[in-house]
Amino acid sequence: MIKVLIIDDDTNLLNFLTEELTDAGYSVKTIDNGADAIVMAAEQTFDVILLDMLMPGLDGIQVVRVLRKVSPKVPIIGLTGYVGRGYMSQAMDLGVTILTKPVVFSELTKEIEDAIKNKQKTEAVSSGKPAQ
Amino acid sequence: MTKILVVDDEKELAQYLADQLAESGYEAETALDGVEAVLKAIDGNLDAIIMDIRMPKLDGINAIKIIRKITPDLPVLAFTGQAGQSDIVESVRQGAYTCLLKPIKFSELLKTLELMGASR
Repeated sequence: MIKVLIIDDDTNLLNFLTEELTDAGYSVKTIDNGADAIVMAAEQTFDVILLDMLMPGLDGIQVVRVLRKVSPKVPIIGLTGYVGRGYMSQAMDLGVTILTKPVVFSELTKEIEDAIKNKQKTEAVSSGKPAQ
Repeated sequence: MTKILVVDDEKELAQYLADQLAESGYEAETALDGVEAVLKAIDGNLDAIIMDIRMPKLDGINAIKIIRKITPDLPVLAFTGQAGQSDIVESVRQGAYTCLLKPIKFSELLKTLELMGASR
């Protein structure tokens, strides 16, 4: 089962995404702030991380910088309602795929599947085995 | 010069320790919570970290856990104002070299830094 970590301070969105992703067959964990999220990512492994890029406290870019170190191979999909060009390029430089809010569920699941396929391809190339 | 990061949410204490370390021949900087410490550990160039356990945002135990993952060889010395065993045991379990009790004796701090391999 694909394990997804969702980090967002909007509990309504967390509940909605948890319900939808669980129904779609994913295993979901949620956390509502960046500091607890980096601890959880250091303790557990996930297949993909969904991250609200604008949260109070620890900002999305800072969370990504830590996540890239504690779980370097896990794809991160950034969710944001605000898309400034500078912010977008900063996130993309860190290898984050950006999805704008409101989240369209079909787009989100497609991004998750694409991110996991890309990760498997990368791992297959580095291990010399064919991708599944 | 050996560079030490002092992490404490008591700004005055962090600055006092950093000033004392600077006078003793170290390069020292401060961070005021665990998150700032983790981000500074990512930026690199540190030779050791001295970290309080009880802090807001991200406490010392969790910060040590994350720093161990990011830079496994960077020595971390914990300190706490709590007299009980739990902070000491848990910080060492997460990879701290040891855990000193507040108020910190500066001579003891210097000696511990040298034992940790962070000599001046």
